[in-house]
This record gives sequence, C-alpha cells and structure tokens, in this order.
Amino acid sequence: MSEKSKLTLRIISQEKKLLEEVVDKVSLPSTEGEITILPHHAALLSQVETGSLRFTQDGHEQDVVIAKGFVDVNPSGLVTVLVDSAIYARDISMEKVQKAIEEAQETMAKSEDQRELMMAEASLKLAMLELKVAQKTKKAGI
Amino acid sequence: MANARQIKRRISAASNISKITKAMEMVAASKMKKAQDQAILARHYALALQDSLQKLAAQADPSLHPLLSRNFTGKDILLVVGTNKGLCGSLNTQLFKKMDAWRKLHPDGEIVAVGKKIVHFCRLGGFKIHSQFTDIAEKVTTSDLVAISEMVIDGYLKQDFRSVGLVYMDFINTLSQKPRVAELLPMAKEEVVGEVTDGQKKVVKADYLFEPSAKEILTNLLPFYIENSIYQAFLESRASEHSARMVTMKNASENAHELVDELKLVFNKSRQSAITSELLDIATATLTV
Repeated sequence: MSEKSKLTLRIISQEKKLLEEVVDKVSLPSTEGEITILPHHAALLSQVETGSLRFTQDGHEQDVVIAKGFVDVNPSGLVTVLVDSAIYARDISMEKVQKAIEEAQETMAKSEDQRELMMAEASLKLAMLELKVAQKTKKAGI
Repeated sequence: MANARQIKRRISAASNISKITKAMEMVAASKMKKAQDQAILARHYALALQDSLQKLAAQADPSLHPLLSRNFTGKDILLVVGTNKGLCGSLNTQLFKKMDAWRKLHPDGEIVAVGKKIVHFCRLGGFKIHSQFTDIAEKVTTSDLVAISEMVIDGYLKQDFRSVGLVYMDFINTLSQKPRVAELLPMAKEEVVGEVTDGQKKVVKADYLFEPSAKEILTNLLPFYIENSIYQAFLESRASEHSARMVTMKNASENAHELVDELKLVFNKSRQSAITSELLDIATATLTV
C-alpha cells in the first residue's frame, strides 16, 4: 500500500499531542452519529462528541477515549482531532476513574452553582465512558 | 578602625541576601520547568486550532457569525497579561513599553489588566482600566479564564468593544522572552473578507463539508478559539515569568557573592592597616621610654 492511500491521524488535546501516526481507518463519534474516515475522504470539518475513537493500524485496532472537540479532515489525508482531553484505552487507570466518578457525584450532590454542575456532569460522563472502554479492552485480553 | 564593624555588617547583609536570592532562584527554576513544559505542549493544540479556524473563516461567510464581522463602534480594549509579583527583570517593563505604543494608536483605549504589577503601572501611567484580574491561580486551567474570555466575547457581541488586543510575553527559551502583541478580535482580517467576496478565489477553495453546519461549528469554534488564545497567552507568560525570574535571581546571587568578596577584601585591608598602625604605636612608645 502506498503512503497516499493511508491516513495520518493526529490527536491533540489541550495539554499535549497524544499521537501522530499513519493509520488505515478512523472511526469517531461526531455530533451527527458515528463516522468512519477512510483514505480519500472528502474534506470535512465536524464536531466530535465525548466517546471512544477507534483507529486501525496494520490490522490492529486501538481505542482512545476522547472528550468533545472538533475533527478536521484535510483532502491530503491528514486527520486532525482536536479535543479537550484524550487518553489511550490501555492507559486508563481504574482507581483514578473510580475516584473521578466519586468526586463528580459528590460535587453534583452538593453544588448548586450551574457551571460547577455542568462541569461535574461532563467529567462524570467522561469517567463512566473510560470505565466502560477499559472494561471492554480488558475482556478482549489486550 | 570604626569602619571595620560597618563593613562586617555589610558583609553579613550581602551574604544573607545572596541566600534569599539563591532560594528564590531554585523555587523559580522548579516552577519554570513545569510552566515551560505546559506551554510548549499546549502549542500544538493552539496551532492546529488556528489552522482549522483559518480554513473555516476563509470559506464561511463572515456574516454568519458576529465575532467574525467588524464592529465600528465601541471602545478599544487591550488585554495585558503581566505578573503579580515583581523581581523578574525587565519582563513587566517590556510590557509597559508595548502598552505605551498601543496608547499612541488608540488614545481612548482601555486596559484589561492581569497581574498586580500591570494594575499598578496603569495607575501610575494614567491608563484607563476597564477591569482587572489579580487572582489567577499559579497553575492556569481553562476554567480560571472563563471569566475573562466571557467578558471579552460578550463585550464584543454587544458592540461595547471595537477591537480587543492581547499583549503578553512570548516564551522563546529560558534566556529570552519577547513581548508579543496580537489582535484577538475582530478575527476577520481584511484579507479573509476579501477572499470570500472575491469570485475567483471561491472556485479555488476546497469543498469542505461541514457537519452539522458551518454556522453551528463556527458558533462553537469561535468562542472556543478565543478562550484557547487567552489560555495560551497565559501559559506563555507564566513560562516567561518564571524563566525571567530565575535568570534575574541567578544574576542577583552572583552579584551578591561578588559584593561579599569585595567587602571581605576591604575588611581585611582595614584590619591589616589597624594592626600595622598599632604596632607602630607600640614601637614608638618603646623607643621613647
């Protein structure tokens, strides 16, 4: 396969660049539903929801949990995913996630501030998702 | 000699100062490392975001979003990101110079001051302060800056602000930081608007698909972009602050050491001359007896 018929995937979170790799296929949750991007995809700019992104590289699938953000598909095959936060499924630490869930629930129970509630809800959603993905990856024995 | 005691006091004062500056240098050095890493890692995001936005702005009709259009009424605002604490060399002074230059272009402009040093300078220099922020946490997070970015965006949407500028210290490396003036709003530069209205360019532009729609993405992306620009400016200025402070404190410790050495020399000389003159006294006394 020539380099032309592959995608370059960049995942960038606010803190750092998570990865920049040549991949075959990317699936991610857009606001309009799950989309899969293959090489020679039309130029696209879309919003991304909190969810799990899956990319295929040399036949191996990998999961990355992402928060909401944007995806920019360049006609030249460069896929840039810009998100608030991103983490590899294999890097998720169960204890941390459990703690995050507890903390978010605590804030939601106590706080009355609208903004704080919204932020707690978002982090709870992300933590739950991380937990789900992590359990799935463990089951698959990866 | 009466002088000897004074010199001794100066020696101990200088060496105490050198101990303090040494400690401050080490504190700044450890903070600097963190701040630099944070600033450098966040740059990728800012660059990629800017790239996407430029594409979007070049292709979407600027009338779709009020943040992309120009305001012809309202005030000129300059957001200055400085430091709360001093002792960081010429960092704030360089910002002051930029503010002065800006005032020449915008005589009626108002300042949004971040950092106590900037607020202080505004009072001294007779700048009109629109608002001030002096309690931003050491480790900047986006949620700390929501208040600032909301104020900027709201002010612009309500047409209270005609333009919003941003001045901060751009971090280049530990030894050099440069003041940087950026235009935050309006985002639509003359060229971008020109490109859209120009019929020829319209054909050249790649056919981008927008999901759900260009308008919706713009509405979400633009405020986000402004937030991120401000966030990035804060990270850069924090990294610059700690780097500048570390270098300044290092110089201060070195100078203090030099001063101690010099004073020790003077002290020894004066002690020696005191001994000599005493010996002479004794010698003359024995001769006379």
